[in-house]
Amino acid sequence: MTPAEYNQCVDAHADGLFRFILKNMRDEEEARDVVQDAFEKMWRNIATIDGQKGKSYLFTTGYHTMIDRIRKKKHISDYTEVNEESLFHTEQYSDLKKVLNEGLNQLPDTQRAVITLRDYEGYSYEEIGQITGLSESQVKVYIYRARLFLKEYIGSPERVI
Amino acid sequence: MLTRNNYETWFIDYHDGALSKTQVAELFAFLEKNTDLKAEFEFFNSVSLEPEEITFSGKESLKRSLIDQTNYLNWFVSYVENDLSESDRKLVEEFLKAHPELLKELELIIKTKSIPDYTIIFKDKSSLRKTAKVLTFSRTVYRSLSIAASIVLIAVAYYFIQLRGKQKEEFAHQDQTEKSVAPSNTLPQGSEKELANQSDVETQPSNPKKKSRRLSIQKNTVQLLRKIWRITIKRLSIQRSLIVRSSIRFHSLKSSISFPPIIRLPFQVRLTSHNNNLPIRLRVLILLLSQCKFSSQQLPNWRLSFLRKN
Repeated sequence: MTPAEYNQCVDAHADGLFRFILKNMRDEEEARDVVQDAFEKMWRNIATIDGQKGKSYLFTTGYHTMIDRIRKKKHISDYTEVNEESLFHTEQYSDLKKVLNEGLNQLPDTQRAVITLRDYEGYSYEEIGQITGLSESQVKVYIYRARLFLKEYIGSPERVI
Repeated sequence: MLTRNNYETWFIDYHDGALSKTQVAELFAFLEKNTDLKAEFEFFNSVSLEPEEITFSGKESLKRSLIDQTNYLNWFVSYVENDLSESDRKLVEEFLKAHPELLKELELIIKTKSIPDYTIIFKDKSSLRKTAKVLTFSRTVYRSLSIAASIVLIAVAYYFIQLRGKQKEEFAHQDQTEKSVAPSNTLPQGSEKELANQSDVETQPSNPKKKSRRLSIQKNTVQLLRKIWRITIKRLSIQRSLIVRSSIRFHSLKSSISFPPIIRLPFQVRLTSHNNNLPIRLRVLILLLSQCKFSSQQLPNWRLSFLRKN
Protein backbone atom coordinates (compact mmCIF):
# COMPACT_ATOMS: atom_id res chain seq x y z
CA MET A 1 0.00 0.00 0.00
CA THR A 2 1.30 3.43 -0.90
CA PRO A 3 0.91 6.51 1.33
CA ALA A 4 -1.46 7.90 -1.30
CA GLU A 5 -3.63 4.79 -1.02
CA TYR A 6 -3.46 5.09 2.76
CA ASN A 7 -4.73 8.67 2.60
CA GLN A 8 -7.46 7.60 0.19
CA CYS A 9 -8.49 5.05 2.82
CA VAL A 10 -8.74 7.84 5.39
CA ASP A 11 -11.11 9.78 3.13
CA ALA A 12 -13.12 6.78 2.00
CA HIS A 13 -13.44 4.69 5.16
CA ALA A 14 -12.81 6.77 8.29
CA ASP A 15 -16.48 7.77 8.52
CA GLY A 16 -17.80 4.29 7.83
CA LEU A 17 -15.46 2.71 10.35
CA PHE A 18 -16.32 5.37 12.91
CA ARG A 19 -20.09 4.79 12.42
CA PHE A 20 -19.64 1.04 12.75
CA ILE A 21 -17.54 1.31 15.91
CA LEU A 22 -19.74 4.01 17.43
CA LYS A 23 -22.89 1.98 16.83
CA ASN A 24 -21.31 -0.95 18.64
CA MET A 25 -19.49 0.85 21.46
CA ARG A 26 -21.94 3.70 22.02
CA ASP A 27 -19.11 5.90 23.25
CA GLU A 28 -17.84 8.58 20.90
CA GLU A 29 -14.46 8.99 22.58
CA GLU A 30 -13.84 5.27 22.62
CA ALA A 31 -14.95 4.94 19.01
CA ARG A 32 -12.61 7.75 17.99
CA ASP A 33 -9.75 6.01 19.80
CA VAL A 34 -10.44 2.73 18.05
CA VAL A 35 -10.53 4.41 14.63
CA GLN A 36 -7.26 6.21 15.30
CA ASP A 37 -5.73 3.00 16.58
CA ALA A 38 -6.83 1.11 13.44
CA PHE A 39 -5.34 3.74 11.13
CA GLU A 40 -2.16 3.86 13.19
CA LYS A 41 -1.75 0.10 12.84
CA MET A 42 -2.44 0.36 9.14
CA TRP A 43 0.26 3.01 8.76
CA ARG A 44 2.76 0.96 10.70
CA ASN A 45 2.13 -2.00 8.41
CA ILE A 46 1.70 -0.03 5.22
CA ALA A 47 4.46 -1.96 3.49
CA THR A 48 2.77 -5.32 4.00
CA ILE A 49 -0.85 -4.38 3.25
CA ASP A 50 -2.32 -4.89 -0.21
CA GLY A 51 -3.59 -1.55 -1.48
CA GLN A 52 -6.86 -3.16 -2.58
CA LYS A 53 -7.57 -4.60 0.86
CA GLY A 54 -7.29 -1.44 2.93
CA LYS A 55 -10.94 -1.35 3.93
CA SER A 56 -10.99 -4.97 4.97
CA TYR A 57 -7.80 -4.45 7.03
CA LEU A 58 -9.29 -1.41 8.76
CA PHE A 59 -12.54 -3.10 9.68
CA THR A 60 -10.78 -6.26 10.84
CA THR A 61 -8.36 -4.32 13.03
CA GLY A 62 -11.11 -1.99 14.24
CA TYR A 63 -13.44 -4.89 15.05
CA HIS A 64 -10.87 -6.78 17.11
CA THR A 65 -9.73 -3.68 19.00
CA MET A 66 -13.36 -2.84 19.70
CA ILE A 67 -14.23 -6.33 20.94
CA ASP A 68 -11.16 -6.31 23.21
CA ARG A 69 -12.16 -2.97 24.69
CA ILE A 70 -15.80 -3.99 25.14
CA ARG A 71 -14.71 -7.14 26.96
CA LYS A 72 -12.32 -5.25 29.21
CA LYS A 73 -14.97 -2.67 29.94
CA LYS A 74 -17.48 -5.37 30.84
CA HIS A 75 -15.10 -6.77 33.39
CA ILE A 76 -14.72 -3.37 34.97
CA SER A 77 -18.13 -1.76 34.78
CA ASP A 78 -21.48 -2.95 35.99
CA TYR A 79 -22.96 -3.65 32.62
CA THR A 80 -26.23 -5.00 34.00
CA GLU A 81 -27.21 -1.43 34.61
CA VAL A 82 -27.40 -0.79 30.89
CA ASN A 83 -29.41 -3.92 30.19
CA GLU A 84 -31.90 -3.32 32.95
CA GLU A 85 -32.48 0.20 31.82
CA SER A 86 -33.54 -0.92 28.39
CA LEU A 87 -35.32 -4.09 29.50
CA PHE A 88 -37.80 -2.21 31.62
CA HIS A 89 -38.40 0.56 29.18
CA THR A 90 -42.13 1.05 28.88
CA GLU A 91 -42.17 4.27 26.93
CA GLN A 92 -44.18 4.25 23.74
CA TYR A 93 -42.07 4.78 20.65
CA SER A 94 -43.08 6.03 17.32
CA ASP A 95 -39.71 6.54 15.73
CA LEU A 96 -38.52 3.36 14.05
CA LYS A 97 -34.88 4.40 14.07
CA LYS A 98 -34.92 5.01 17.79
CA VAL A 99 -36.62 1.70 18.51
CA LEU A 100 -34.28 -0.11 16.20
CA ASN A 101 -31.31 1.42 17.98
CA GLU A 102 -32.76 0.25 21.27
CA GLY A 103 -33.16 -3.19 19.81
CA LEU A 104 -29.59 -3.20 18.49
CA ASN A 105 -28.34 -2.31 21.95
CA GLN A 106 -30.12 -5.36 23.31
CA LEU A 107 -28.26 -7.71 20.99
CA PRO A 108 -25.20 -9.67 22.09
CA ASP A 109 -21.96 -7.93 20.98
CA THR A 110 -21.16 -10.35 18.16
CA GLN A 111 -24.68 -10.28 16.71
CA ARG A 112 -24.71 -6.49 16.84
CA ALA A 113 -21.33 -6.30 15.12
CA VAL A 114 -22.22 -8.70 12.31
CA ILE A 115 -25.58 -7.12 11.60
CA THR A 116 -24.12 -3.60 11.47
CA LEU A 117 -21.36 -4.80 9.14
CA ARG A 118 -24.08 -6.31 6.98
CA ASP A 119 -26.44 -3.33 7.00
CA TYR A 120 -24.01 -0.42 7.14
CA GLU A 121 -21.28 -1.69 4.86
CA GLY A 122 -23.16 -4.30 2.85
CA TYR A 123 -20.55 -6.96 3.52
CA SER A 124 -21.21 -10.55 2.45
CA TYR A 125 -21.30 -13.40 4.97
CA GLU A 126 -17.85 -14.43 3.79
CA GLU A 127 -16.37 -10.96 4.23
CA ILE A 128 -17.93 -10.60 7.68
CA GLY A 129 -16.47 -13.99 8.53
CA GLN A 130 -13.01 -12.77 7.54
CA ILE A 131 -13.35 -9.60 9.56
CA THR A 132 -14.71 -11.21 12.70
CA GLY A 133 -12.92 -14.54 12.50
CA LEU A 134 -16.25 -16.42 12.50
CA SER A 135 -17.25 -19.07 9.99
CA GLU A 136 -19.60 -18.12 7.20
CA SER A 137 -22.39 -20.29 8.63
CA GLN A 138 -21.91 -18.78 12.10
CA VAL A 139 -22.24 -15.31 10.60
CA LYS A 140 -25.42 -16.35 8.82
CA VAL A 141 -26.90 -17.82 11.99
CA TYR A 142 -26.05 -14.65 13.98
CA ILE A 143 -27.60 -12.42 11.35
CA TYR A 144 -30.77 -14.53 11.23
CA ARG A 145 -31.07 -14.54 15.00
CA ALA A 146 -30.44 -10.81 15.21
CA ARG A 147 -32.97 -10.13 12.45
CA LEU A 148 -35.67 -12.18 14.18
CA PHE A 149 -34.89 -10.63 17.56
CA LEU A 150 -35.13 -7.13 16.11
CA LYS A 151 -38.36 -8.03 14.33
CA GLU A 152 -39.83 -9.19 17.64
CA TYR A 153 -38.46 -6.10 19.37
CA ILE A 154 -39.85 -3.51 17.01
CA GLY A 155 -43.10 -5.45 16.56
CA SER A 156 -43.88 -5.85 20.26
CA PRO A 157 -47.18 -4.26 21.36
CA GLU A 158 -45.58 -1.46 23.44
CA ARG A 159 -43.37 -0.45 20.51
CA VAL A 160 -45.93 -0.41 17.72
CA ILE A 161 -44.33 1.28 14.76
CA MET B 1 -11.51 -80.15 -12.49
CA LEU B 2 -14.23 -80.97 -10.04
CA THR B 3 -13.11 -83.19 -7.17
CA ARG B 4 -14.26 -83.94 -3.65
CA ASN B 5 -11.76 -81.33 -2.44
CA ASN B 6 -13.15 -78.36 -4.33
CA TYR B 7 -16.83 -79.21 -4.85
CA GLU B 8 -18.01 -76.43 -2.43
CA THR B 9 -16.81 -73.66 -4.71
CA TRP B 10 -18.49 -75.42 -7.65
CA PHE B 11 -21.76 -75.58 -5.68
CA ILE B 12 -21.55 -71.87 -4.86
CA ASP B 13 -20.66 -70.95 -8.44
CA TYR B 14 -23.60 -73.04 -9.66
CA HIS B 15 -26.01 -71.16 -7.37
CA ASP B 16 -24.53 -67.88 -8.43
CA GLY B 17 -24.96 -68.89 -12.09
CA ALA B 18 -21.25 -68.61 -12.68
CA LEU B 19 -20.77 -72.04 -14.31
CA SER B 20 -20.74 -72.72 -18.03
CA LYS B 21 -23.02 -75.38 -19.59
CA THR B 22 -20.22 -77.94 -19.78
CA GLN B 23 -19.28 -77.20 -16.15
CA VAL B 24 -22.93 -77.69 -15.13
CA ALA B 25 -22.98 -81.00 -16.96
CA GLU B 26 -19.74 -81.97 -15.23
CA LEU B 27 -21.23 -80.95 -11.86
CA PHE B 28 -24.31 -83.12 -12.31
CA ALA B 29 -22.20 -86.07 -13.51
CA PHE B 30 -20.10 -85.60 -10.34
CA LEU B 31 -23.26 -85.63 -8.17
CA GLU B 32 -24.43 -88.86 -9.84
CA LYS B 33 -21.16 -90.47 -8.84
CA ASN B 34 -21.09 -88.96 -5.34
CA THR B 35 -24.64 -89.34 -4.17
CA ASP B 36 -23.65 -88.55 -0.54
CA LEU B 37 -23.01 -84.92 -1.59
CA LYS B 38 -26.46 -84.47 -3.13
CA ALA B 39 -28.00 -83.47 0.21
CA GLU B 40 -25.34 -80.82 0.68
CA PHE B 41 -25.90 -79.55 -2.88
CA GLU B 42 -29.62 -79.20 -2.21
CA PHE B 43 -28.96 -77.46 1.11
CA PHE B 44 -27.16 -74.71 -0.81
CA ASN B 45 -30.33 -74.23 -2.83
CA SER B 46 -32.38 -73.60 0.29
CA VAL B 47 -29.99 -70.97 1.67
CA SER B 48 -31.04 -67.65 0.19
CA LEU B 49 -32.10 -64.39 1.82
CA GLU B 50 -35.08 -62.48 0.65
CA PRO B 51 -35.28 -58.73 1.41
CA GLU B 52 -37.77 -57.93 4.09
CA GLU B 53 -40.30 -55.24 3.61
CA ILE B 54 -39.04 -52.66 6.11
CA THR B 55 -39.90 -49.03 5.49
CA PHE B 56 -38.52 -45.77 6.97
CA SER B 57 -41.41 -43.87 8.43
CA GLY B 58 -39.78 -40.41 8.64
CA LYS B 59 -39.14 -39.92 4.94
CA GLU B 60 -41.19 -36.76 4.77
CA SER B 61 -39.13 -35.08 7.48
CA LEU B 62 -35.97 -35.70 5.45
CA LYS B 63 -37.33 -34.01 2.38
CA ARG B 64 -36.34 -30.39 1.80
CA SER B 65 -38.69 -28.37 3.92
CA LEU B 66 -40.69 -25.99 1.83
CA ILE B 67 -42.15 -22.84 3.25
CA ASP B 68 -45.00 -23.45 5.64
CA GLN B 69 -46.59 -22.07 8.78
CA THR B 70 -43.81 -23.41 10.98
CA ASN B 71 -40.76 -22.13 9.16
CA TYR B 72 -41.89 -19.06 7.21
CA LEU B 73 -39.91 -16.62 9.42
CA ASN B 74 -36.57 -18.09 8.35
CA TRP B 75 -37.74 -17.95 4.75
CA PHE B 76 -38.69 -14.32 5.24
CA VAL B 77 -35.24 -13.49 6.65
CA SER B 78 -33.62 -15.29 3.72
CA TYR B 79 -35.86 -13.30 1.41
CA VAL B 80 -34.79 -10.01 3.00
CA GLU B 81 -31.12 -11.02 3.02
CA ASN B 82 -31.27 -11.96 -0.67
CA ASP B 83 -30.15 -15.48 0.11
CA LEU B 84 -32.84 -17.14 -2.02
CA SER B 85 -32.77 -18.31 -5.60
CA GLU B 86 -35.31 -16.88 -8.01
CA SER B 87 -37.54 -19.95 -7.72
CA ASP B 88 -37.41 -19.82 -3.90
CA ARG B 89 -38.28 -16.12 -3.93
CA LYS B 90 -41.35 -17.02 -5.99
CA LEU B 91 -42.25 -19.67 -3.41
CA VAL B 92 -42.21 -17.00 -0.68
CA GLU B 93 -44.28 -14.63 -2.79
CA GLU B 94 -46.83 -17.37 -3.53
CA PHE B 95 -46.94 -18.29 0.16
CA LEU B 96 -47.67 -14.64 0.99
CA LYS B 97 -50.48 -14.57 -1.52
CA ALA B 98 -51.98 -17.56 0.23
CA HIS B 99 -51.35 -16.05 3.68
CA PRO B 100 -51.73 -12.27 3.35
CA GLU B 101 -51.98 -11.91 7.13
CA LEU B 102 -48.24 -12.75 7.34
CA LEU B 103 -47.20 -9.83 5.13
CA LYS B 104 -46.85 -7.67 8.26
CA GLU B 105 -44.23 -10.05 9.55
CA LEU B 106 -42.18 -9.69 6.39
CA GLU B 107 -42.54 -5.92 6.54
CA LEU B 108 -41.24 -5.93 10.11
CA ILE B 109 -38.21 -7.94 9.07
CA ILE B 110 -37.54 -5.49 6.25
CA LYS B 111 -37.71 -2.70 8.81
CA THR B 112 -34.94 -4.29 10.88
CA LYS B 113 -32.45 -3.30 8.18
CA SER B 114 -30.47 -0.47 9.72
CA ILE B 115 -29.66 2.50 7.58
CA PRO B 116 -26.41 4.19 8.54
CA ASP B 117 -26.66 7.69 9.87
CA TYR B 118 -24.55 9.57 7.36
CA THR B 119 -24.53 12.66 9.52
CA ILE B 120 -22.14 10.83 11.81
CA ILE B 121 -18.68 11.52 10.47
CA PHE B 122 -15.14 11.29 11.77
CA LYS B 123 -14.41 14.98 12.13
CA ASP B 124 -10.67 15.04 12.65
CA LYS B 125 -9.58 13.19 9.52
CA SER B 126 -6.48 15.36 9.21
CA SER B 127 -5.13 13.68 12.34
CA LEU B 128 -5.22 10.38 10.45
CA ARG B 129 -3.61 11.59 7.25
CA LYS B 130 0.09 11.06 6.81
CA THR B 131 2.46 13.11 4.76
CA ALA B 132 4.35 10.08 3.61
CA LYS B 133 7.67 11.25 4.98
CA VAL B 134 8.29 8.53 7.44
CA LEU B 135 9.83 5.30 6.37
CA THR B 136 8.63 2.57 8.62
CA PHE B 137 11.24 -0.09 9.21
CA SER B 138 10.18 -3.25 10.89
CA ARG B 139 12.03 -4.27 14.04
CA THR B 140 13.82 -7.03 12.15
CA VAL B 141 15.07 -4.58 9.53
CA TYR B 142 16.14 -2.16 12.26
CA ARG B 143 18.03 -4.87 14.01
CA SER B 144 19.67 -6.25 10.89
CA LEU B 145 20.64 -2.79 9.69
CA SER B 146 22.02 -1.90 13.10
CA ILE B 147 24.09 -5.06 13.22
CA ALA B 148 25.25 -4.60 9.65
CA ALA B 149 26.13 -0.97 10.32
CA SER B 150 28.17 -1.79 13.39
CA ILE B 151 30.01 -4.60 11.60
CA VAL B 152 30.74 -2.32 8.65
CA LEU B 153 32.10 0.33 11.02
CA ILE B 154 34.27 -2.18 12.83
CA ALA B 155 35.50 -3.58 9.53
CA VAL B 156 36.29 -0.13 8.14
CA ALA B 157 37.99 0.89 11.40
CA TYR B 158 40.00 -2.34 11.37
CA TYR B 159 41.02 -1.67 7.78
CA PHE B 160 42.25 1.85 8.56
CA ILE B 161 44.12 0.70 11.67
CA GLN B 162 45.86 -1.93 9.59
CA LEU B 163 46.58 0.60 6.86
CA ARG B 164 48.01 3.12 9.31
CA GLY B 165 50.13 0.39 10.90
CA LYS B 166 51.52 -0.46 7.50
CA GLN B 167 52.23 3.19 6.72
CA LYS B 168 54.07 3.60 10.03
CA GLU B 169 56.10 0.51 9.26
CA GLU B 170 56.90 1.91 5.84
CA PHE B 171 58.00 5.28 7.30
CA ALA B 172 60.11 3.54 9.93
CA HIS B 173 61.65 1.38 7.26
CA GLN B 174 62.29 4.41 5.02
CA ASP B 175 63.96 6.23 7.93
CA GLN B 176 66.13 3.23 8.59
CA THR B 177 67.05 2.96 4.90
CA GLU B 178 67.81 6.69 4.75
CA LYS B 179 69.95 6.39 7.87
CA SER B 180 71.80 3.40 6.47
CA VAL B 181 72.14 5.10 3.08
CA ALA B 182 73.25 8.47 4.52
CA PRO B 183 76.82 7.45 5.38
CA SER B 184 77.27 6.20 1.82
CA ASN B 185 77.33 9.81 0.65
CA THR B 186 80.78 9.99 2.02
CA LEU B 187 81.82 6.99 0.01
CA PRO B 188 83.48 7.30 -3.36
CA GLN B 189 81.18 7.51 -6.42
CA GLY B 190 82.04 4.12 -7.77
CA SER B 191 80.89 2.29 -4.67
CA GLU B 192 77.47 4.12 -4.62
CA LYS B 193 76.00 1.95 -7.37
CA GLU B 194 77.14 -1.17 -5.62
CA LEU B 195 75.50 -0.11 -2.38
CA ALA B 196 72.27 0.70 -4.19
CA ASN B 197 72.31 -2.80 -5.62
CA GLN B 198 72.91 -4.13 -2.12
CA SER B 199 69.99 -2.22 -0.67
CA ASP B 200 67.78 -3.50 -3.52
CA VAL B 201 68.70 -7.00 -2.57
CA GLU B 202 67.83 -6.25 1.06
CA THR B 203 64.45 -4.64 0.36
CA GLN B 204 63.24 -6.87 -2.46
CA PRO B 205 62.15 -9.83 -0.29
CA SER B 206 60.11 -7.55 2.08
CA ASN B 207 58.09 -5.76 -0.66
CA PRO B 208 56.10 -8.77 -2.07
CA LYS B 209 55.44 -9.84 1.50
CA LYS B 210 53.97 -6.46 2.34
CA LYS B 211 51.94 -6.42 -0.84
CA SER B 212 50.52 -9.85 -0.19
CA ARG B 213 49.65 -8.88 3.41
CA ARG B 214 47.92 -5.72 2.28
CA LEU B 215 46.07 -7.64 -0.40
CA SER B 216 44.92 -10.23 2.11
CA ILE B 217 43.65 -7.48 4.45
CA GLN B 218 41.82 -5.85 1.56
CA LYS B 219 40.45 -9.17 0.46
CA ASN B 220 39.16 -9.95 3.95
CA THR B 221 37.57 -6.53 4.27
CA VAL B 222 36.00 -6.82 0.84
CA GLN B 223 34.62 -10.24 1.59
CA LEU B 224 33.28 -9.08 4.93
CA LEU B 225 31.65 -6.00 3.43
CA ARG B 226 30.19 -8.04 0.61
CA LYS B 227 28.72 -10.50 3.06
CA ILE B 228 27.24 -7.80 5.26
CA TRP B 229 25.67 -6.00 2.34
CA ARG B 230 24.28 -9.20 0.86
CA ILE B 231 22.59 -10.02 4.18
CA THR B 232 21.26 -6.50 4.51
CA ILE B 233 19.99 -6.52 0.95
CA LYS B 234 18.33 -9.88 1.48
CA ARG B 235 16.59 -8.64 4.60
CA LEU B 236 15.56 -5.38 3.02
CA SER B 237 14.33 -6.92 -0.18
CA ILE B 238 11.34 -8.08 1.83
CA GLN B 239 10.39 -4.44 2.07
CA ARG B 240 10.42 -3.93 -1.68
CA SER B 241 7.31 -1.85 -1.58
CA LEU B 242 9.06 0.91 0.35
CA ILE B 243 8.99 4.18 -1.43
CA VAL B 244 12.25 5.61 -2.26
CA ARG B 245 13.79 8.81 -3.26
CA SER B 246 17.43 8.05 -2.84
CA SER B 247 19.54 5.08 -3.60
CA ILE B 248 22.69 3.76 -2.07
CA ARG B 249 25.29 2.21 -4.32
CA PHE B 250 28.23 0.30 -3.12
CA HIS B 251 30.75 -0.72 -5.70
CA SER B 252 34.39 -1.31 -6.34
CA LEU B 253 36.51 0.27 -9.00
CA LYS B 254 39.73 -1.06 -10.40
CA SER B 255 39.67 -3.77 -7.81
CA SER B 256 42.22 -6.46 -8.26
CA ILE B 257 39.82 -8.86 -6.55
CA SER B 258 37.21 -10.05 -8.97
CA PHE B 259 33.62 -10.10 -7.86
CA PRO B 260 30.41 -8.60 -9.22
CA PRO B 261 31.36 -4.95 -9.64
CA ILE B 262 28.16 -3.36 -8.42
CA ILE B 263 25.89 -4.41 -5.62
CA ARG B 264 22.83 -2.26 -5.79
CA LEU B 265 20.28 -2.14 -3.03
CA PRO B 266 16.88 -3.18 -4.35
CA PHE B 267 15.18 -0.40 -2.45
CA GLN B 268 15.46 3.27 -1.85
CA VAL B 269 15.62 5.04 1.46
CA ARG B 270 13.65 8.11 2.21
CA LEU B 271 15.76 10.46 4.28
CA THR B 272 13.92 13.13 6.18
CA SER B 273 14.04 14.70 9.57
CA HIS B 274 11.97 11.75 10.76
CA ASN B 275 15.03 9.64 10.28
CA ASN B 276 16.11 10.99 13.64
CA ASN B 277 14.08 8.09 14.93
CA LEU B 278 16.51 5.68 13.31
CA PRO B 279 18.97 3.92 15.60
CA ILE B 280 22.19 5.83 16.09
CA ARG B 281 24.27 3.15 14.38
CA LEU B 282 22.12 3.29 11.28
CA ARG B 283 22.38 7.05 11.15
CA VAL B 284 26.14 6.76 11.54
CA LEU B 285 26.21 4.35 8.62
CA ILE B 286 24.16 6.67 6.46
CA LEU B 287 26.39 9.57 7.45
CA LEU B 288 29.44 7.49 6.73
CA LEU B 289 28.17 6.68 3.30
CA SER B 290 26.80 10.08 2.49
CA GLN B 291 29.22 12.51 4.14
CA CYS B 292 32.63 10.89 4.47
CA LYS B 293 34.89 11.39 1.53
CA PHE B 294 36.89 8.29 1.02
CA SER B 295 39.86 9.31 -1.05
CA SER B 296 41.57 6.90 -3.37
CA GLN B 297 44.62 6.99 -1.06
CA GLN B 298 42.55 5.96 1.93
CA LEU B 299 40.81 3.22 0.04
CA PRO B 300 43.00 2.46 -2.95
CA ASN B 301 40.81 -0.11 -4.63
CA TRP B 302 37.51 0.90 -3.22
CA ARG B 303 35.03 3.63 -3.55
CA LEU B 304 31.89 3.99 -1.51
CA SER B 305 29.47 6.33 -3.05
CA PHE B 306 26.18 7.52 -1.80
CA LEU B 307 24.02 9.03 -4.46
CA ARG B 308 21.35 11.35 -3.32
CA LYS B 309 18.74 12.67 -5.63
CA ASN B 310 16.98 15.89 -4.67
